[in-house]
Amino acid sequence: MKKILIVEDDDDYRKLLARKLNKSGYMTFSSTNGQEALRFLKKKTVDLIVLDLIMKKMNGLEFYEKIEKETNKETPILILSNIQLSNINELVTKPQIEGYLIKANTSLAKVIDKIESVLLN
Amino acid sequence: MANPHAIKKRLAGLISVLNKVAGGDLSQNIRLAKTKDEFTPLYVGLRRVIEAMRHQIVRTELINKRKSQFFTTAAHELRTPLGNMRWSLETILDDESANLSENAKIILYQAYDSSIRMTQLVNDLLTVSKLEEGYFVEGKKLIDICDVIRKTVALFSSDAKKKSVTLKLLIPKNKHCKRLMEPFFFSEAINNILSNAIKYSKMQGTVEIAVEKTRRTIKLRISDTGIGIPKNEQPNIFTKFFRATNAKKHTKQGTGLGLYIVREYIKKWGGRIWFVSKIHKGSTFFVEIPLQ
Repeated sequence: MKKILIVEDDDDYRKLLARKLNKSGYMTFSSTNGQEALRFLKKKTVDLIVLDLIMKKMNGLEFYEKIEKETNKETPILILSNIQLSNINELVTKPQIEGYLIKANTSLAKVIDKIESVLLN
Repeated sequence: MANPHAIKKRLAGLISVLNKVAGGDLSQNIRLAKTKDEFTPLYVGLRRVIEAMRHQIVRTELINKRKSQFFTTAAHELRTPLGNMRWSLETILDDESANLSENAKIILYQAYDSSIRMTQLVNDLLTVSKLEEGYFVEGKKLIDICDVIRKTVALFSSDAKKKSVTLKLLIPKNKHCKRLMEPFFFSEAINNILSNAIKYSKMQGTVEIAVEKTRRTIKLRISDTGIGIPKNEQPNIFTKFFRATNAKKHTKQGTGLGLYIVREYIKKWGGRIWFVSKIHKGSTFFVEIPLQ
């Protein structure tokens, strides 16, 4: 069973996403900010990270900067955010970043489709 | 007064600085001579002008930064509850164990549709706001227009299939369609035109996208065999929030902002957009963008 780490500070989003992922056959783990996620990844390995950007304590981009140094892992990352950064096209070409979806514009079904296609590669 | 040769030299120096400033280089630092002479006021004046221009740039950058923060915050605050509504409704509608009555499902679908319309409206309103604020943060890159069109058409293939609409793409092979522009804005423009073509198509219709490249321009033609635009309503098509009467009857979905946004982008690229349409027969939109 593939493992997915959800990094999301909004309780409702986190629960909805976890529920959908579990129903779709994935094992899910949750963190509410970048710091927690880093701590988790130092001990455990997952197949995919679903990453929110706007979070307190450590936001998604700060987390991304630190992930290689602190965890030594090259886990693929799918960004799920409600902001539309102007450099999305650049971001998705960076190492490990496999996609950028805007939550409000994407159905849960399409999120699963995207996750499946990322995990297939 | 210094000798003519020295005067010429100093004037040449000043003119060189002026030319650089005119070209946008404000890095020039003008040093005043130790002794005052007839040139001093000129040097002082030039220094003040450069200072003022530098100030203006700093102010503009600060204003843009504030606008950027506003738009990012506004987008985030608006989208958060909307996305939540969408996912919550999807979750409950997908949940078989919820045992919803047919009636309950219908009503929940209504709410779901409305939440999606709301999201589209928020997206379009944010775009319109940015356009009106003259806020363009995305940088220009050399993009392959044909490639962007191909990718956008691919994104719509499942929507087209649902209505049995055939998508025909007529793009010259082996030709580069490269142009310096903002990648995201161009995708959005094509997305809006194509989305309309498919949305207003009848079942089993055809949508054709043709690209033609001349030495100086790129021409696009997007045509559909859909509901068309009534003649008396055609002058309003690019107006904000306008949706033709038959369009509103055909589907509730639509913000009336898509074409306004497209035209604003195309104007910024120095191009133009126009259309021909016949009610019940379909519409053809033409876009012409200078290559540079």
